[in-house]
Amino acid sequence: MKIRNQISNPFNVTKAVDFLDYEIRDYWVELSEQGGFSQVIKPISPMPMLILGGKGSGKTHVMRYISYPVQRIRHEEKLISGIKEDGYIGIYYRCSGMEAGRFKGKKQEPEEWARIFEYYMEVWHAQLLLKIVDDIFRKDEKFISLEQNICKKIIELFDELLREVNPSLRSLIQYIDELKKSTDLNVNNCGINCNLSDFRITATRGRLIFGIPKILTEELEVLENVLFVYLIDEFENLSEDQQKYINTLIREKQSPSSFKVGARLYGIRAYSTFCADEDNKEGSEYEKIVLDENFRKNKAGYRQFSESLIIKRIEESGLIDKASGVFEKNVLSDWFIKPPSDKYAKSETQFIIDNYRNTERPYFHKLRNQLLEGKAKGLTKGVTNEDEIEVIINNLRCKSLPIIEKVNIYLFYQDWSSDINLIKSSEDISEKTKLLIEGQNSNGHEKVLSHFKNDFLAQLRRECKKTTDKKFEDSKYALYSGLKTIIDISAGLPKNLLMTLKKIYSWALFNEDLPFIKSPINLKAQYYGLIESSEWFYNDAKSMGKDGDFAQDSIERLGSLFRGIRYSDKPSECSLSTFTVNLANISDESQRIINLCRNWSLLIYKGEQPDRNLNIIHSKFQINPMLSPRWGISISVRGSISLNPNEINAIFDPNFINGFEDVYKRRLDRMKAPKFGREIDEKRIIDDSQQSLF
Amino acid sequence: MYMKKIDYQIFYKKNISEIIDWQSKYSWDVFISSYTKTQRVKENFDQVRAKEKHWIVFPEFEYLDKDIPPGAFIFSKKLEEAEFIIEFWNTKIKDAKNKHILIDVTGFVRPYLAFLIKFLYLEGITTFEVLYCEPSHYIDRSKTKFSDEIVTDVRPIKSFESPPKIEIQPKDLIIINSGYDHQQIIEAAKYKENARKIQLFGYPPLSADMYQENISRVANAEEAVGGHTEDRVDKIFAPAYDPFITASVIRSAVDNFQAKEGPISNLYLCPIATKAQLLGMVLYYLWEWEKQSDNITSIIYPFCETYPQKTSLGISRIWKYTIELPS
Repeated sequence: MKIRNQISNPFNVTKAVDFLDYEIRDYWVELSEQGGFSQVIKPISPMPMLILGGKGSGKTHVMRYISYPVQRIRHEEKLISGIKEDGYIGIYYRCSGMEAGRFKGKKQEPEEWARIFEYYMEVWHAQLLLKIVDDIFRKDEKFISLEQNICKKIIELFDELLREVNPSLRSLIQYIDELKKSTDLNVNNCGINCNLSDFRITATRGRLIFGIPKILTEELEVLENVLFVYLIDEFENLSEDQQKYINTLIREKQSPSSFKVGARLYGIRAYSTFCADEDNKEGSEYEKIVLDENFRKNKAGYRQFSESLIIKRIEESGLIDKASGVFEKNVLSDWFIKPPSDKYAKSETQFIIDNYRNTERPYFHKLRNQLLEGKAKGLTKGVTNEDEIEVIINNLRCKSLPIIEKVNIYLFYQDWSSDINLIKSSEDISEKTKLLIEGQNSNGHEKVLSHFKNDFLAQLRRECKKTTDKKFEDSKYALYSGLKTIIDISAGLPKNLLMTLKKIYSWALFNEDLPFIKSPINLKAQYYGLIESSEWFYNDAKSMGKDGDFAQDSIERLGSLFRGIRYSDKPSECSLSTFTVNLANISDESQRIINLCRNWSLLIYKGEQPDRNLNIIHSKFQINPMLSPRWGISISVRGSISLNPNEINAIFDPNFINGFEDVYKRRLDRMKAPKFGREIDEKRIIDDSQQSLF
Repeated sequence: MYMKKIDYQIFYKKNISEIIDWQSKYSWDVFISSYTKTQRVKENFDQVRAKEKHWIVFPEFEYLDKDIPPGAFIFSKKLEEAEFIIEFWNTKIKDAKNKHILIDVTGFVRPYLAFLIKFLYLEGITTFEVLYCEPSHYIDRSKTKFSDEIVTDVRPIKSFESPPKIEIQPKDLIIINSGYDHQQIIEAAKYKENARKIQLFGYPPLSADMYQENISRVANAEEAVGGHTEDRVDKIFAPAYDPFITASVIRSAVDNFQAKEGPISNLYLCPIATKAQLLGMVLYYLWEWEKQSDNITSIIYPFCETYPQKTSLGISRIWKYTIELPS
């Protein structure tokens, strides 16, 4: 068994880019549903595909898994037959690697850059493909016998040759390397001498990209039905015109070539092409998958995948013996402590009973003060003196079940905001509580509890804070705990899951636990791990530039509004984490920022829903659950508030954010005793109270 | 792979603040400095003896007209670093071959400084001197901002772009000279997310407390930079004030990496710490890679829109370096 200071964190690596190729193979986890990733990504389908997803959705991991370097590792000694069996060769590269930003400015016209970029890409693809071919076939006798013929045909694809080229693969690769270097030097030095006049284009668009695979499949029997798939990752690093060029290749594609393009959600700047500016259409020129959306739609499948991913990481880390088969999915959740939960949250609220045996519980103390204030302002119907306030509070008590006291107070607030006689209200509630305790039906209580239980527990933890008490601490940490919660919080982004587990595991070791070996992960480690990963996500999701800062600030405003509602006296919605909005009615800038938040996964688009009253379609968005711990709000999608254009603009539009405080106050006032948003004539109250003196 | 390896230790550096009345002992033909409100920069400009003295005002500092010294070079349009420096040179200097040049790098905006050195090299000016003034301390200690921390672009500095190498399994390395600005470090790391990362720290630092301040800021970039596994070297150290040892340390790090991991496909250097260490990166680039037919090195930078006019207080040491570039 490893001693503590030798234990490495099995979740250390959270990004596919940090994996070596053999690690991509070793750490691969198959999707148990939908026919596995091969059915989702379809490497042998000739139809091009856009593979989109938020940061950390697994695009790079999946693309690298079907790329040639990993194919080579998978097939080891039987590479050629393995490729034939796969039915494809994955020609993978990242757009960030070509420094596409060089192809602009420097006092050259955009058309000139477009022309040069097109040629550069032709050469880039050709060089990469031929290096792969060389790697596969360099010792293959059949290929060697055909090499000269194949290379002669490839040489003929060029419009002109700048020098003589021997018809051998190595010479061809060398020649193309020279073309690339010459292009690079011209592009780079253009910034100083501003002269591209010596530049010669020696191959037409598509001739090499499509021509080389065609020649290879015609000449080599073993490649007869093999698809050459160009895997273009990090597409968002190309400009609009550069993407247009790739779109054109997709539109003009020729068998046996195809494309899979990986990009962030915001990464597609253009669907248009250079073919009379026609757009590529989904279903016609390409199909599309959004990986994290796919995971979120298929919750059970994502949970299974996540558990397999966790087990794989644990096994590969050497923490447990893979061969022993000891570690199985059905025990994985046992390694994450989750407090027992019952209908009336008895164990979760025991700390309140213990800590407030001889003192008034804080929520009653608050209610008392609110009733006093309300009485002074003439807002407590049926209440004329402090003795009556005492009666009300006694009616609402249910000492053995703090959660029911919360329900009672909520029901009371509802009646109070409707200007119902408060003594009568408290008596009714008391009667219903008795029925509940006797095990009889109390519809009002059951309904409120089923909706607001988690919100009330969150409120209780905040209101009854006693940081020196272990039971309170455990209750606080239980807010987000358990394997299911950890998986759900990741919202379909495996990187989020790994990052959270990485933080949790570090905390567990710090607390001297030995997860997956000896002791399960306690509540404190889970809680602080989630808080840290939430903070990481909040900062990491932000993009460059002022927009990044502004989107972050907007989400902060939205989160603080949701938090205010959750912890208010009479929350309007339960487990609030979503809002709806009529996008057509908000400012352009608000729309733009909401879109950015969506692209950067700060907000998750949940589809459309009709407005109940106005028969208008609203768009629904959820704050990414990874951010929920930041404000102590719910991670689930239950209650939702409809935000009007003024409110939306005050949250998302920089021109209106000064109005946010008012928006916040107006929303929350409706949920706050004693006024519940009602306008009070203060002068009349003073006059009335002065009258009562006489 | 490399040219004959130069021993950077032979280059000359001197702490001239130890020399009483150093100002009267040296003189130059041309003196170039970047205008800032920092005491150490303004004092040097006044005290240095030179036939021509030139202030450059970089637009990123957003000086008001009334603050700009008379005769300073400013440019109304937004230019990239190459165009700006070339415009400055053609306007103010024109020809400085065979002239004794001094550049005070203390207040320079980094990409402009890097390009200026490259420009001198391209002009055939392969020997000049540089002043670098250490501060007593930074204005807000570990919380000092060295930029607006809003990175708008990450890209190679003009003329420091190498042709990207195409490999079936590329092995890229980025060496980030990590200063206080964690946001710039994060964006540089994200820009080359797929590259292995090594952080270069200034140690010994300019003053003892600055290392702790540096580390506490860099901790904010931990996840972006990575360096998760125990067997991967991800930190190297060179004196914050010494460009020559910095160049030497970088070379050793690159050599060691390749000895252990195999040939690098693309090497990226990112100077976001002291100007002295930036000089070191530029020297390493020019001496080791500029003339290589298989140059795999680029110097990249996370550009911000604005930089504070003043970041430090007081003067500690004043270094004079004699820079020699390959001919």
